Parts: sequence; C-alpha cells; structure tokens
Amino acid sequence: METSLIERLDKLRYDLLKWCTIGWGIWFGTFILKDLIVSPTIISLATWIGLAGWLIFIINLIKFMKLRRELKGDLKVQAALNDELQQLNWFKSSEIGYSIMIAVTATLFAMSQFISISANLVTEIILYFGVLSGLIASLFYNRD
Amino acid sequence: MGNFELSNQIKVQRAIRNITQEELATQIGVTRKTINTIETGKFVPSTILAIRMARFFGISVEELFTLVEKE
Repeated sequence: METSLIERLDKLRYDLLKWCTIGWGIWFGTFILKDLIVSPTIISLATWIGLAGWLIFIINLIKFMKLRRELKGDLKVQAALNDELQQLNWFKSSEIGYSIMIAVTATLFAMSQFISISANLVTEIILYFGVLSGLIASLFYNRD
Repeated sequence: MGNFELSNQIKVQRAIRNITQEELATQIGVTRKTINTIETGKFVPSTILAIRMARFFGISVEELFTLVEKE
C-alpha cells in the first residue's frame, strides 16, 4: 500500500463532499426561492443558477459513488478511509442534520399557527436545511 | 471520568522511530487525521486501535497512553 494513497483518497473524498454541499446549496436553494418570488426575471435567473448548482451536485455525487465502487475490492484502503474517527464524524454530522430538521419542523409548525404555508414549501425547506446542515457539519468535522 | 484526561506518547515514539503521522497511519490502517487527533488529545481511540498502536511501537498500552488526573 502506497504511503500517500489513503491521504490522496481522503482529500479527494473531502473535495467531492465540499462540491456536493455547494451544489446542493445552490440547486435546492434556488428551487425553494422560485416558490417564493414572483418576478419572472429573477425566476429565470434562479433557474439558470439552479441548473449550474444541480450540475455541480450531480457530477460530484456520481464521482463520489464511482470512488466508493472502485474501492469496494480494496478492503484495507476502505477500512482505513472509514476508520473510527470517520465513523464518529459521520455520526455527529447525521445527528446535527437530524436536530436541524427537527428544529426547522418545529419552527415551521409554530409559524403555521399564525400564517398559512404551503405543505410543499414546508417539505422543501425541511429537506434543504436538514441535508445542508448535515453536509456542512461533515465538512467541519472532517476538516484538516 | 470528567476529572481525567488521556495523555499519550505518540509524538515521542514517532520521533524515536523517525516516522511521520502519515507513515504511522498507513501502518496502522487509519487516516493521518485520526493519528493527528489522537496525538493532540482531541480524539480518544478505541481499545482496539490503542492496542494496535502500542503493538506497532513495541510498548504496552499504558506506556503509550496515560490517564492523568486534572487539577
């Protein structure tokens, strides 16, 4: 096993995660924004920005999945990349994502007592913040 | 356990053997980040990992890791 192989793969995984986070933030953010604004110019602009975000997200997600598939045969490298610190960081990130989801749900529920919010928008907002916070937390815990 | 903290001799042992964190990580089968966080006391390793590290250095776990009482 090459000395820097795990290091290079770890860095690659971090970069892919970073771009997935950026892609998700832009794509789904503009997707929600389109439900809130009425100006056709801004909607058109948001559509194009969202498309760019979607491409960033999808390309990096495919790369990430490809990397995982390539490593399937190499159990030693796979075990090193998913060591106990990594597993703990994934757990903590998921916990944060879950907590944010609950907090956003509770906030929207409280708001719905006073104003009318579309169920579709509520679902999108919960999903957006839940996934985004989990991804950002993962980047934070796995930083160098 | 709040009054105790785990100190370690990893940096010293690495210096004796003249190996980097990355080389140690490869030998143990973890990432460099894991070695770094253990060495700086940010992450407490599992018993299995602690034994593997001690075996690599050829010393006992208690020589590598020491439980220090906080003042």
